[in-house]
Amino acid sequence: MRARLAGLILTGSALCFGQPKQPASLGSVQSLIDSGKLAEARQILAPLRKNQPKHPAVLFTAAVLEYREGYFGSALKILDEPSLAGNIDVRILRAATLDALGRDAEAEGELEALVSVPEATGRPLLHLGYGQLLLQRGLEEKALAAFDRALELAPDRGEAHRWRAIALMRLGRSKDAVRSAESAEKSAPVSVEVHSLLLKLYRLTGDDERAARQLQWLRERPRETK
Amino acid sequence: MRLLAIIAVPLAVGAQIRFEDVTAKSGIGFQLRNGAAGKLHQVELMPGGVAAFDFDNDGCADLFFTNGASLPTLRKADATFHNRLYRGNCDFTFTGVTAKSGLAGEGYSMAVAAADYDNDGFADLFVAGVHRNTLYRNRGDGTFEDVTRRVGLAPADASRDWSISAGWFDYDRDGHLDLFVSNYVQWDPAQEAPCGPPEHRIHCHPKWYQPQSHRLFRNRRDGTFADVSASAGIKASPGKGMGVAFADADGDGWPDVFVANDSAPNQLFRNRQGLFEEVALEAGVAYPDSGRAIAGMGCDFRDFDNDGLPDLAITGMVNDTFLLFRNLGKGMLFEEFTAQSGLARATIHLTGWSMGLFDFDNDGWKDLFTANSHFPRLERQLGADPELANTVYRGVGKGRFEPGPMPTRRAFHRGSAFADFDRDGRVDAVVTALNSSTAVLRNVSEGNAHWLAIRLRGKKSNRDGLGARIKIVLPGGTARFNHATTSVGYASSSEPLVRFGLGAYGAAERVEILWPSGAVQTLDRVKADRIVDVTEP
Repeated sequence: MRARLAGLILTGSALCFGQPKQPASLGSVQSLIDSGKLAEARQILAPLRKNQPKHPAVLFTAAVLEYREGYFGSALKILDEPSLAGNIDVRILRAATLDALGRDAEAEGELEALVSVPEATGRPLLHLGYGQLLLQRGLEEKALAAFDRALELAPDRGEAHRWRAIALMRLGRSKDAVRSAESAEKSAPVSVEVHSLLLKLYRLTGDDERAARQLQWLRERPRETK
Repeated sequence: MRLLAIIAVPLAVGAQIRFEDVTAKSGIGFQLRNGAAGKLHQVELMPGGVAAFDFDNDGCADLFFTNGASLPTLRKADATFHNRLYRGNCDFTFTGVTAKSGLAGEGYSMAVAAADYDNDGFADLFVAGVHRNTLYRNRGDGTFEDVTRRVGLAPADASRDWSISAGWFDYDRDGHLDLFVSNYVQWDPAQEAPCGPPEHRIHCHPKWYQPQSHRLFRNRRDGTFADVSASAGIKASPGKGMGVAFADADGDGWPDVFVANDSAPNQLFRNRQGLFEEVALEAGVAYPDSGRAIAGMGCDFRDFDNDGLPDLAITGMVNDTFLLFRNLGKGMLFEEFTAQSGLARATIHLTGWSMGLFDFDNDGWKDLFTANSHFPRLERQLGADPELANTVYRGVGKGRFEPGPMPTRRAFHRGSAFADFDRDGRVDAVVTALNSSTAVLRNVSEGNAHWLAIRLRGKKSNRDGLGARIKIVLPGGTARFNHATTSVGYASSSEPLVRFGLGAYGAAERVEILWPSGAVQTLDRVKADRIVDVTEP
């Protein structure tokens, strides 16, 4: 199962749940999650969950852990706890979780609401995720606007350039799409996603020489699995 | 008159696709068994293919079901693991004839491909499986003989192949059907590693297994086969092969091969006069636009937008979306069309296995049927029941699809085969399900749409005419396209007839057949609502 919006998820100091005070060991759990040591994080988190089962920060960290491990159903269950209601990071994680579960209409609704919330609107990844959901619905123009907004906030964000290129390609603006994909390549020069997109675009625009170079790059890499 | 005909079209187009579950009265008691016994072997996720074919040439579609085996022995320990053959009675009842046929089988069977490989007028069966494949030659008297070793389909280095799908096509256009076998991963029951946390083990992701090369067997025209996987350019591109489908994607007369891969880039083997080149990347079908491989499962390689170019449909896993690729021509170039078709949003919550692009309501636009289920033991991941209902998406023109109603039975659905079992002109479906009864689905779509089915008899071409491309020209000049193939979906095989929905038109102005041999045949003013037998000139 794919966690497409995983980049949206934050842990650690970015969180603010106010009272009650966050347990001291939760910080190390969050660090372990961030560094991908999920089994260790789970071990430390287990007693915290037992002792403080309703603590918002503990619950949220547990939900992040479930999400990171791909247990999206469990994550969603935790996120629906009343004590987490209203927090921006919870809402973002909830949207990402809904998306991972294939409940994209609900995810889109949540992100649509979030992109205009002052505390969230400055997050480029939020606009990027929202744009992807719009694109999936076939709303290329609206998606393009979301990607443009993401790039206003983070002009070097390669993912935003790449998704913008996809939106432009679907709008039939192949030459603009090439320019966006080339910007993506500058940010992420070894991305299979970017090179396969460039190959597609160069073929669409009849640029056989550049297409051949992209193909060569892709062929020289081992076939990867996701 | 032309104006009247145009006005009449919407009357036929308005019908909804509807299937009725007639399993209980069909006489099909088959239950697919995967042999799962708690050890979570990878193979238990993957069966079971089904074939709709006419083994006794009585004009009624029959059914063959593959079945699993005990694990880890890979032996059919008792009769519940036997493969099954049912003779169709043309009225949605079927009679079990496995014992007489000799098709009970051995080993862990996965897939089936039906076609008349020896051009003797009787459809034969290739059964693919785990570390064992079998070719059954139809003797023409209701019995089959295992000819695998005699004909050269059990090469020594294939004993560890895990074959998941297979299909018949005439890649070298010599009039004799060749065999493509889609292989999955290297797997050994004795070395199955545990996956998931100790308190809740799950089946391992395919990334933990090494890919296998597919195989191509050339029919030597004397009833035997040569393994040409290396010399023809197939072996050099291993994959994690699931469904396989054939079509002449670039219109050069040579059939190309598409393989849907599980969590690895898809493969498109372009046929250059009998030698293959893997071109999925440059053709734009290795990945969706996102650039990330999906868990590809079943596939169909047909023209869904009626522009004369075969397109691709592929099922995938939850949050992948099923994929549509539209063939743009331009020397083999496709564009992803999933979002524009409406299928991205409609399928993102699903995991699909087998499938088929058929015109179920005969309105002239092919529709998409998918057999669905999430993987078992993923409740914690999904937050939902992993068993799913099947789905149908109605083609409404210009490559767009809309969800339609389906029987709500939820199960771990897998293989599917399509044929007109009651000869009413509407394509029906049969779907297998892990450790559950089979779903026999009668197409009861309403409406007065007309149809036409072409049953081909090749002379210089292979006898089934597989690979023949057919264009129907309707009054007013509208054209419809299809081609002959039995390789549809996942691990399964469908009837070889080439079907068309004609909507409100009671006849086709012209039927143009391009045979694999290169012969062109034209029929004028062909009346609708019947099967037309056409022999190659």
